[in-house]
Amino acid sequence: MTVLTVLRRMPEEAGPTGSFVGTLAFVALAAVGLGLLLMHGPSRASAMVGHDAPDFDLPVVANAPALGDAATLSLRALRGHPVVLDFWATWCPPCRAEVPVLEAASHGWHAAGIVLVGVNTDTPDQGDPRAFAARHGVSYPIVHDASGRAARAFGVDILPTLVVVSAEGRVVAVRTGALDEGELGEVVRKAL
Amino acid sequence: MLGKSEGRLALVILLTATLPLASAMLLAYSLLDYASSVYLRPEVEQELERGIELYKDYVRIAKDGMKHEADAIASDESLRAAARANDSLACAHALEAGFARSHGEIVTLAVEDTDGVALARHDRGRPIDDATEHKLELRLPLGPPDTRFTLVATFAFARRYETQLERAGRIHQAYSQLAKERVRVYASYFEAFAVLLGITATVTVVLGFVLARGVTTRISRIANAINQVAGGNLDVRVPVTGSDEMTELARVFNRMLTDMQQSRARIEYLQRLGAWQDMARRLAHEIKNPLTPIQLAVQECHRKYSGHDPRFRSLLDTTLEIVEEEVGTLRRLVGNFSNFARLPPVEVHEASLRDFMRECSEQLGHLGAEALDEGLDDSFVNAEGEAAQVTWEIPDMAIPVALDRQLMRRVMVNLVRNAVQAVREVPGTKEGRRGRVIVSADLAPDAVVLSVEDDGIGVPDELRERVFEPYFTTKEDGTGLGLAIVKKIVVEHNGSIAVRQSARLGGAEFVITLPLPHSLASNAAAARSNRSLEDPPSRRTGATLC
Repeated sequence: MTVLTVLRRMPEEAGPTGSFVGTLAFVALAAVGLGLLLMHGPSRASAMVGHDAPDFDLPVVANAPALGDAATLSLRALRGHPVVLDFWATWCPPCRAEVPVLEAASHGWHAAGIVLVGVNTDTPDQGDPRAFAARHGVSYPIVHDASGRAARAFGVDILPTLVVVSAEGRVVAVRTGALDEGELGEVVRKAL
Repeated sequence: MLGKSEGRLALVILLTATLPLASAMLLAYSLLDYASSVYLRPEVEQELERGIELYKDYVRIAKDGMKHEADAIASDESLRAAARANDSLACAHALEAGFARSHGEIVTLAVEDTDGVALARHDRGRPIDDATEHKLELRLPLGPPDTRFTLVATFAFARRYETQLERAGRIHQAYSQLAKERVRVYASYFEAFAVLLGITATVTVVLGFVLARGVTTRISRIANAINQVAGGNLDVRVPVTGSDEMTELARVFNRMLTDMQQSRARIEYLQRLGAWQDMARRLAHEIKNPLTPIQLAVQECHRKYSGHDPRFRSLLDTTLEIVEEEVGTLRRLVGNFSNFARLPPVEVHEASLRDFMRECSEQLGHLGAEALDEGLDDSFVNAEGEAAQVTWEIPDMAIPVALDRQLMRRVMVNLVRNAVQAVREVPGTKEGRRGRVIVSADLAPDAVVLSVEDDGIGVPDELRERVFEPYFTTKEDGTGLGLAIVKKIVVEHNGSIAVRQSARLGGAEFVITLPLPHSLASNAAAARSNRSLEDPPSRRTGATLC
């Protein structure tokens, strides 16, 4: 027996049949709406260029004095300064290799008003960014994105990823992979 | 954006969840349909109606019978005559006779006059039972319309017929109500099912997307990284999130990238070094060949001169001296070059790190400068030597390592010599300051770490990579081969070497990391040396013992 015959055999009164079809239509619409909602998931970091940088609010785990001793850092609070975000992890060798390069570059940037922030994506069982920063003499501030929410918001799917945010809060450049001094300087110079 | 596999997975989950529900819905409908067609048949209703009619007929017939009975008694002539004669005794007799003829449903028979006074009366002997019986009273005139007397007949009619009739009426009513409501029941069931189906569909689609997204985002991350790697960029890693097979895949992928990077670096280094070795071999050959003729020619000149010019004799003496000295230097250099060029391949064997270090410390303690390939002027490695005190921190436990003892000893010699030279360069050493060199070993996870540190001037940051390049030297008399040889041997052991600042002594610290024998890398090195054994090269001929 098909649904059609069932429907055809439904008595002729319009009331119940009408509400049945209405319910079905509502449910279908809800499903489609939810599907559409889900389709708007995070996109790749490179696709972020030209868009507003998503805000985050993350605990500062190293070199808080560089940010005025704040316990947490929100990206919005840095509006007015170009910001270079380095998404990294302690277990990632290219990220570790890039740290001295960033450290060296950060001094020059500091003078130019550019803020470098390391966004560590380690989960608690992967590593401790605080200890890493202390051991490797990192002087730029590091925030901890243990849940990975900020990385997802920026569409970071490769480590390390460097995101340059303009003073107006717009993503102006994204680079993946470890960069050397020359590449790093060029990316930032071109973007800002 | 939405990936194809996400859609597919969601569809599959949707189908698996909704198909059974939809079929259950249809089954339920057909069951309902069947049940209602069985129980709510119009014939049933008709039969019910007919039954009620029958009951009604029966009651009517029963009542008619009673009426006929009363009529028959009332038309009895003897009763009429007795009534006319006002003879109560005869009336009583006639009533009794009528009672006897009746079918037993009469309760009382009486003859009353117009004033309601009974002339005669007969009853069955027990009153009407209200619980089971109904009273039915009939009054019939006894004679023509003007007669004074009336027959009053009281019948008992069983109540159960009426009760039955009422019940049948109620059932019939309920039945027809149900039949009418069937439509609404269907609709509400359908609605409930539709809502259930809708909720299931929504939940499964959401669930499907969420589940699929968890996997597909991570797959696309790896795909993205593979793209980068394919483009030659090995400096990328995939974020490791979650705790499932995909997490493991990301971890393995990252490890693979690290391994690829290491082996690429190793291969590049060995290739570069191979080119240098080749050059050294040619150079050595080209330089070495004319050395003897040059020396012989000058010696011949010197010998054959029989003149008496003292100035020319002196010039010849000086020339011979210079040429012999320089040829000697060149010979040593060429020797170094050929040693470097003919560095044998590493052949690893299981060994104990403790024993190896003990051997090295003993041998290095007794070795003179001449045994060393870079020919130094002073002895330096004597534990009691002038320039430096070399301390060997030999581990207590026997750490198993896979190494080529001969070549690794050479590594230790080069490093210790390097350290002592560095110590000597510190101002004040010549005036009696004694530098310190510490050789130590440690067990790291999956690796053995050998370290040679000194309190010398250290290696500047910017030179830390370059010191291992062939022909790179900061020394006046150095060939820049010592550390290159060290690195080559270490790399062929599948290990790595780095230089950093010594935490203990403040100078340079050379750190050699060797894989443990059970690890894969070491096995590969062993396999490689097995291969080189099958095709035996002219090994060891040029190797200098440490």
